[in-house]
Amino acid sequence: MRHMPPVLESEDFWVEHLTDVPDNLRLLKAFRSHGNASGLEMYLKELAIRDEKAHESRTYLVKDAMTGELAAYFSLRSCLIPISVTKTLFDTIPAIEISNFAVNEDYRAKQRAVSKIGAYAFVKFIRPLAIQASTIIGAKWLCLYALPEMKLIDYYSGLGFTRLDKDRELFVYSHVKPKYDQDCIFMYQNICSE
Amino acid sequence: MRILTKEYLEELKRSEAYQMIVNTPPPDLSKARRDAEIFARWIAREHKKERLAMASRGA
Repeated sequence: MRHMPPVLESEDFWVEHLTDVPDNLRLLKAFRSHGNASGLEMYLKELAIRDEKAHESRTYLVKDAMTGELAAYFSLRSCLIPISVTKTLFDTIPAIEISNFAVNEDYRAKQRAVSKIGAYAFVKFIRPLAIQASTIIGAKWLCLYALPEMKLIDYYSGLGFTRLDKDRELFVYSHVKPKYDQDCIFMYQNICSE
Repeated sequence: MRILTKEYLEELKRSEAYQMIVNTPPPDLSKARRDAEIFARWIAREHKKERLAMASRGA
């Protein structure tokens, strides 16, 4: 059952802000992420609320409009991407970071015939929400730090993300990549072209 | 405050970085949109089946 107007919705899903609905805390407990992405499950269950209270990121739940099941979640936060201008000068590009994005494996298991819910959530909800935010605060890129797995890099490439050239990538890492994203790959896409 | 001097802006405009900042191409979303559409069609069919099943149960 819906308690608040959704942040976004399609015919078959709606998106809620994590803390808008008290019952969401119960739903989180049943979330299960893919085997090698346990950090994403741990984040939702143990850290997402803390980040909400600290205003460090916003977490959104994607729910099945028919059943109310938790299908996926994603977290967004603002960030600045440093880019070298000369040897002594750098500028920054305002961006929005997808700090977490995962599909509920229990929900995915139900729909074995098609497993493209990640692309759906990205196209229908994540990118539009980032574009909406960019019209209010100004942001040029949507970015993420991908785990260093070729399969994952290819997956994000399929969602329209690209990598910087090696020097620029290293420049980003040397200035803003936090410890918890160690070894992760910076990827970005333009959100001001629509 | 973000106050940009004329000198800085000129230096910025001469740089490769500036070209990159102003000319970031739009992303290729063709695959993502295709996949999203496949899923949208599939889930719409599944929900329709569920609604029919609920109706036949008198829910």
